[in-house]
Amino acid sequence: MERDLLKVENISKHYHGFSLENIGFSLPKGYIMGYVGPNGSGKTTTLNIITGMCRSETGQVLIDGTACEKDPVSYKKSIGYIGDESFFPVQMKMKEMKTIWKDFYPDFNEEEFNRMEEEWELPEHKKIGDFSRGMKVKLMFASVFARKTKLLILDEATNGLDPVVRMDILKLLQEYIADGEKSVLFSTHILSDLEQIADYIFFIHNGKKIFYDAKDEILENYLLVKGDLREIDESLRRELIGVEENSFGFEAILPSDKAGLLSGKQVFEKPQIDQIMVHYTRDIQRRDRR
Amino acid sequence: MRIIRFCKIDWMIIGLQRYVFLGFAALSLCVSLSNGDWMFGLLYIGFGHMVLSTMPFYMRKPADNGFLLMLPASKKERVLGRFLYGISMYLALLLTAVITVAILMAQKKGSLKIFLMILAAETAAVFLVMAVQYTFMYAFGEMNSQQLMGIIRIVPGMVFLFGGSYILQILQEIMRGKRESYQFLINALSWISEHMPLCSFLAVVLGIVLLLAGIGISVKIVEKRDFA
Amino acid sequence: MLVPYLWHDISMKILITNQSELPIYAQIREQIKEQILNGQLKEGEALPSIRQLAKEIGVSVITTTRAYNDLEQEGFITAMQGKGTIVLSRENDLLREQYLKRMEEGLFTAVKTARMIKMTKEELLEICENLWESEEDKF
Repeated sequence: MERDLLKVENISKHYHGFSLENIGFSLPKGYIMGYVGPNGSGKTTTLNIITGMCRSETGQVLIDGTACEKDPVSYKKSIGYIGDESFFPVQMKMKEMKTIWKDFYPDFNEEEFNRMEEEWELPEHKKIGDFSRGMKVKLMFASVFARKTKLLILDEATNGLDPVVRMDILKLLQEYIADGEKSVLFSTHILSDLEQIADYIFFIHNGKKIFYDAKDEILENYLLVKGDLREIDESLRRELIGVEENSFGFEAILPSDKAGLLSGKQVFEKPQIDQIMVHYTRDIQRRDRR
Repeated sequence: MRIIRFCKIDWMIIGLQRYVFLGFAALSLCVSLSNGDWMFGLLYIGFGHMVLSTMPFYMRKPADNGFLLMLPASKKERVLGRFLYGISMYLALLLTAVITVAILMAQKKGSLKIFLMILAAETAAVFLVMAVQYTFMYAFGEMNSQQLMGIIRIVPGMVFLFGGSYILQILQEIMRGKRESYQFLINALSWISEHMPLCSFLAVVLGIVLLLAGIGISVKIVEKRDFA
Repeated sequence: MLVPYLWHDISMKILITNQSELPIYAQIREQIKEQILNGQLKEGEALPSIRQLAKEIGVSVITTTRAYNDLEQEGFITAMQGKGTIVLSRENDLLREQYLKRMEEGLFTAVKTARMIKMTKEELLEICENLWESEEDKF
């Protein structure tokens, strides 16, 4: 029995002016991973490779031990993909989409789909091009939850949705992994709500891995430090990550094992994931400029 | 099976435009019946197909419609489905031709033999154009150049329609004995009509071979391409 | 962020807050521990599964796993095949230690207060005895 549902091994992709370099991680069955990074950092490219829409120049991706090139049919059946709103042909109606799903997915549960359609008030006879973004996202969710999948992939799917819907989606995702057999991989550049339910966080920047670990580990590995820059010595200064200055002091991230360098003049607290991300990004930007 | 389903999606995806081909069918029928001759009518069918069969390529932008790309199938099946769509549209148009000929035959007009011969030639032409058009679309479809797309779509049909009309006109004149100077053509035609079954067969085989080559090249192109 | 949660079948209550200096897994651990120690969660009672709890309070599975692992190591709960996770008997040695610690804490306060108001040891023990008697039928 394979413990890892998703294995991404050393994938790369080069475009003009952008490259994704040697990305690798694995996601065990029954867990949720957040794939996070600023816009343009390579999140969508990675997910496109995982879904098989793009080909990687190196390495491979395995879902439950199967590569897309080996068996595209069962590979794609096992994925529930929820992308941005340009996912559906705009001129189609939901009724037509349903016949396609029934054609391609023998396990498509129409009753279940209709139930969600009703619950989310999706219009049966409207062209999908006329749907709002929220409706399109709900339609994607309904189409995925009406059949059996193993891996849910969400590419910035909750952006621009109202908080109530986002909350519903969080619950759906947690229900999805509840049996311990299925996993969720989502990408986002705004963390806040999704952060809560993620078990693992992969942080990508400029196509490169910055860190990847269990979220609780990451949270414990860093401290959010505030103080006055004039009051810190060089040994502490060197360890601070992404120092943000304002007229009254600074804020930065410090690896927890370096907490001994702090004096009583600085205050520290446990950071949120997005704070770690912000300071790390700042740090990388400064190093790149140098 | 999945190939047929992709073909079905193409018919769905072109939306109401799927009825445009009925217009060509009707036009063909009218032209044929009013002339009492199906020759020119048949040209409209070929023209209609050449103009319409690339429609699904215009209905999706390459990076869009993850929906289609995420359907469980191989790239080969998606390409084959698209070609099947083209062929199925041609078969639907052919139905008009068959109806036309049946009506004209009932009126004791036209010859079945020549109809079959021209039909074979047209099939070869349609398959050739389709193979070239589709391969071109798969190869360059990502360039969002509307002019280029338009040229690929319209030019073969136009060439076929006007070139075909010209050839048919000459043929008719030859048959009426007005053009003695085309001795070479007359010889060729008489040879063809003597070996009619063979020639028709060869034309259709040629069309199919070209189509298969187009499919093969298209599959190769798509397999190397992202978002295809 | 505050997520109040009341488990319907049993009397468990979990409140998660981002304002706390404690990490979320520790908040869960401490609250369950508190409820076991004060008797709200009784011996043999089944706790929600790790995944159920994660879903209900909207935290990650790893977080609840860690809270349960800690509680298991401290002897408060145990995972039993087929029964899920249940609250252990208070006779359990590890747990007994925890109770002793609690008791000492309470008694320490009592002693400290008694000394503050210059009460004798005998007087204190008498209060203790009276309390023991009068509360007897309650336990």
